[in-house]
Amino acid sequence: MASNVLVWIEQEDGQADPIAWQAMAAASKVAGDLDGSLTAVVFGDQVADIARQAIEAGADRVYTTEDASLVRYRVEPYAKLLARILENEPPSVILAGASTAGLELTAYVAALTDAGLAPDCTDLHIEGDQLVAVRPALVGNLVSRVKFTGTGHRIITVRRNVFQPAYGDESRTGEAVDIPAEQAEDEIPTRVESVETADGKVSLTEASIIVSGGRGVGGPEGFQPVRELADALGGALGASRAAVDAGWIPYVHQVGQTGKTVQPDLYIACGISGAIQHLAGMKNARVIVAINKDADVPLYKYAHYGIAGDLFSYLPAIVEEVRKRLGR
Amino acid sequence: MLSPIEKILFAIVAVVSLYLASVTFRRMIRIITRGQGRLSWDRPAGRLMTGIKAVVSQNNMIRNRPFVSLAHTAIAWGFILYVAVNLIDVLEGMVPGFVFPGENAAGRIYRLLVDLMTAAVLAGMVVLLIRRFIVKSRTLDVAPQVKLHPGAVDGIKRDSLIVGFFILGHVGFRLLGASFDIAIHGPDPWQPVAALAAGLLADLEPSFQTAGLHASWWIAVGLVLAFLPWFPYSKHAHLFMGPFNLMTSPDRNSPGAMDALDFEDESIEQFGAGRITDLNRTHITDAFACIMCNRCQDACPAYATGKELSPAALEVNKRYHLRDHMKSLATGGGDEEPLLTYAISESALWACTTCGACTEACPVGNEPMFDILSMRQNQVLMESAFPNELKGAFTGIERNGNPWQMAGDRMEWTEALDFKVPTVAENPDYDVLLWVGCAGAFDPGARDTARAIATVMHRSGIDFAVLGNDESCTGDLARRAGNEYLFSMAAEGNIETLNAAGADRKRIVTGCPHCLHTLKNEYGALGGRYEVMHHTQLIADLRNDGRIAVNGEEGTRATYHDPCYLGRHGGEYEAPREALAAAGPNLVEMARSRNRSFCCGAGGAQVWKEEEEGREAVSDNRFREARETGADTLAVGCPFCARMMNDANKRAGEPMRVRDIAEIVAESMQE
Amino acid sequence: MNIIALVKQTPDTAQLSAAMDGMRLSAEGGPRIVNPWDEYTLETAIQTREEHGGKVTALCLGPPEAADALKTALAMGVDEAILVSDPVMADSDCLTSARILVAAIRRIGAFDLIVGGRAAIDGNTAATAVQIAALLGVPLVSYVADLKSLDPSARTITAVRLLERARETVTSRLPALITVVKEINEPRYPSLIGIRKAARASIPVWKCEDLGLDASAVGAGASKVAWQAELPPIREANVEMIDGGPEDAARILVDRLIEEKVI
Repeated sequence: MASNVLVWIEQEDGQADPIAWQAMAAASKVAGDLDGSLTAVVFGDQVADIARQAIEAGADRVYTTEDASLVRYRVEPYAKLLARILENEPPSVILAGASTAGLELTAYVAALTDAGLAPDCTDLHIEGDQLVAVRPALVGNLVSRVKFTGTGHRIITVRRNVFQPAYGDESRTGEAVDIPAEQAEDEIPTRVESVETADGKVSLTEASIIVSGGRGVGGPEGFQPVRELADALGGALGASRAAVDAGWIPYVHQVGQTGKTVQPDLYIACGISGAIQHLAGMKNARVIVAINKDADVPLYKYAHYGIAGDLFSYLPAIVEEVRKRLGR
Repeated sequence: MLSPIEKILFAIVAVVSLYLASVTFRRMIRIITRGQGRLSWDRPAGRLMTGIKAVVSQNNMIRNRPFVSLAHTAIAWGFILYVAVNLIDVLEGMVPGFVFPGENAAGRIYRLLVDLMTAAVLAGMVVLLIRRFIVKSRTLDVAPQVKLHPGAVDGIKRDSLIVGFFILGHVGFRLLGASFDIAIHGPDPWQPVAALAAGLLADLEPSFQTAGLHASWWIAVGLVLAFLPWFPYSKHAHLFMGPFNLMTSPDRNSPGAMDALDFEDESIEQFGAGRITDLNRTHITDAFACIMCNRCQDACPAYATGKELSPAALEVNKRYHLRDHMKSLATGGGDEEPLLTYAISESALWACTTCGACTEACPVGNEPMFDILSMRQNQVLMESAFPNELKGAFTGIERNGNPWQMAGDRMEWTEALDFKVPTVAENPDYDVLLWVGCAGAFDPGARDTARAIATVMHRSGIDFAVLGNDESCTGDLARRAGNEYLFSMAAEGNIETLNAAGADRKRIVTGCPHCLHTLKNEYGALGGRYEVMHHTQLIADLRNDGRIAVNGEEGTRATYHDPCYLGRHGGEYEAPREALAAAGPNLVEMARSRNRSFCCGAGGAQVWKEEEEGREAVSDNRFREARETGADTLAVGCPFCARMMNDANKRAGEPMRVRDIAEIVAESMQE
Repeated sequence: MNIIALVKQTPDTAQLSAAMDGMRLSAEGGPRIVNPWDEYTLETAIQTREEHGGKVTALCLGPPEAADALKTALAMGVDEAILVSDPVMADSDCLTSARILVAAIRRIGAFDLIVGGRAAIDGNTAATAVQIAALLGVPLVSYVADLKSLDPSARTITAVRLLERARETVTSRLPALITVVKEINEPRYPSLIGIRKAARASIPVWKCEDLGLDASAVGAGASKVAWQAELPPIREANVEMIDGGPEDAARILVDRLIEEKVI
């Protein structure tokens, strides 16, 4: 049975977040599978470019709402607007990227529209005539297969970098629909006071990717390639106690028994031998990569992937590869 | 000798002095009884002997700082004699014609003894005054980062000066009196020192001589009467309170064995010490016994590395607080201020490694380490205010049975062995239970040690077993970190496991001195009594019985670091050295070894937190000393010493080889 | 200030080891703890009460054993704890859970602040607290890393939100619902006095009828999604050593990490 698909295009300052095109790719696939039309939804202030890009990326139609109050994502005005749009749509599939904003917006909208919700999915496919969303649970130790049981909207967010982004086709055309904003500024209960960019300052405890350096980096300057890899992956920078004790990097970066206990999806340990004090802080990471000159360090026993080599020649190569493959 | 008016006057002065002294001494006793628990006074004869021995032998002092202690010994012995001398002098003054013990041989010996001892006291006192006020020995200072009562620096000097002049005055005028006596009654070859001055006095008017004799008597005896009520306000109360403290201190299974808290009694609402009256009576007595000699400070690894901790300052601060609030504390008030505001800083509280060097060094039996442990209990159990890093270790013990929160298999370390290590379930008739410890089970470095111990036992034909996944942290770190509640839960669980495994009827061997100390000396109070030995003790026994043959490489040089919980707290210094010697290397001792061993910096839960702010890491200080021996191997007997020394070794560019004795022995057993 | 702290009990993922699979851990009887983020929830709620006075009520939806999580909350210092537990509520999805919790919040009465964690470590939907805010119609401030100011008389709250690439300072009206991230504070370790108080406290258990909910409005039947948990493909027990020069190794490693869906 045919079902239309809507995809929310996340943007900031008139620039779409790359995750939006990944969600668009997932949405195209689902629209194809379900034989439905694909509608992009763009909210913001002066986002005509993004609306056009959405059509080029595969949307049959774009709903655009431009208003000064929407210049920056806030949950109430965005969710109420999206919920009103959905009220006028037949039961559809709604997709968004599983960014902090995407997760929040979709949950809020699901509550307002009594929809089913499958957040942070890594795979979407059709089983029989049912849409199945696959998502990791329990820090990646379980795989949860979600099926929608109701008759209403089905809302899905997709994990970053799982779907290859949809490429633009400038010859595509589509319908553009302008939709008025739902809330006036004085009806919105929150006000953004200031925004500080946090480039390269990802919080260790919340990071899903951490790249750490240990005694093997040899000195404060040895952290440079480690930091570059963390930045390339959008991850946080960590360190072992040995590196912190040596004064190469501040204590706030320390991972381990007497530092932070972390549980990221990916932990890359560079020049860290794996003393128990360090293992205690990171052993529950979903995937552990150890890069060490020494082919016989205890950490390999806990790691999933190992590279026995000089981190100063391997890390730049990895940084390069990551930039190439993830388009950053 | 005295005139009737003098006699009446003396009686009045004596009564007033004794009355005032009774007031001040009673205050001191009341303050002590405001503390918790009781002073120990079982087997009084034995305890009395302890006190007498300590006073007479002066051994507690002489073993540290021998030269200064010699001066102290002169004064101490002199004053023991002077107790009798003063009583005799009073009697001679009050009873006409009484001379002790008469003009006979005994009298001559008595006079000679007093004369010489008087000179010794004067000489000793001059030495001590020169040391404090002219040489200004730096061991008497307290570093500026340490919290110290604002009045203490000047107070201690004033106190010392007053006592110095009291002693010089008291003993000096007693001597002068003897000189006048000689000048009046003629020469006495049995008082050679007094005779020196007598020559100068011989030409004086007889009436002047008599006046001098009386004045000397009054000053000598009067100073004692004047000083008596002041004692409880002076550090010189140590004269009585030092021996008293030694005699009433608790019997502990080891110098570090802590008392269990009662968690069953719901009416108890204070755990640990937040205020001074929460301390045990014996630890309030400590403050009165302290003479502020700083021997504990000299021995303290935290102080030596520039931390805010000085055990001496802790006792000084307690004492000055008591002195400031003597009256109100004696009458039920005065304890509103938390100890952490005046006795010790928070950083100092958490800098203690519980190495026991302070209690070992103290001549009067003070236990500053226990004050710290009680205060930590208050911080954890009452205030929940402690270094955040410890939370992970506590949670690990609670949830995973090990402080690293490792979820893995406690038998994984055996996988690399070429023989099977059986669990108790697989080998219920074992002879020896190997207690692996969390480090042995999980720490990659300590696993090597655990494998070496198992190898030695296996090759020696010992029928042993391990508890496997039934083993759990003994709780030592929780206890030293103040989390007595978690310790008691850990202990209960382990005692149940051990008894179910029949370990109470077998021998337990462990590679971890912390486990050893807890199992052997602390579980008993909770109902678990076990025969426990360290692996080096087992190895030494095996070697002495000829059950292991080692053919270690000779000619290598090794130094041995005594772990605090095997040495000072466990009393074992020889076995590890025998075990090491058996394996070949020549032993080169560090300057600080055996009971003076310097901590590695791990104990007292330090390894589970960041080291407190200071000049250097305790481990670096110790490692430097090991390196200075010129040995190529640093032998250890504790997984935590191994960790600390390994890290210090790496920081120094790995100039040494850090190995557990078990590993050195196991290696030397190979063909 | 009337503060409500939302608490969930979850499996203890720190107990996971090679020898223990996720199914066993998530199954009944596995070791269970307060959801790691909710320790920060509780600390935030307690600190706010310490500063502004009032009362903290911890609210938890879960099986009867979830009362243990509330014991921890009481030991940490919340004033009251309420467990919402009814067998018919099992397998509720996050929206249905949010509706149940909203009914419980309405029964608790007036509130100034609701605090929740960023997510629960088991389901990791990060949705329930958001949906509670939506259903209650109160302002939502999520991912709070720093509670900069709270003015009970002006009825405003200013907080720093930790986003992927920015820190955003937001002011909101009260009452509001906030969700917190781990950067916000260091959760306290319960004192023994707290543990004792918690042991003596009784925790009321609210069922459907206490909340005026029909059994058909809760549980799997009322939910819009159903899910089935499976173990992920078994991975090699040993480390896979990647050989080759820097370029080759980098390519292989990035391939693997993309396959693992971690980058």
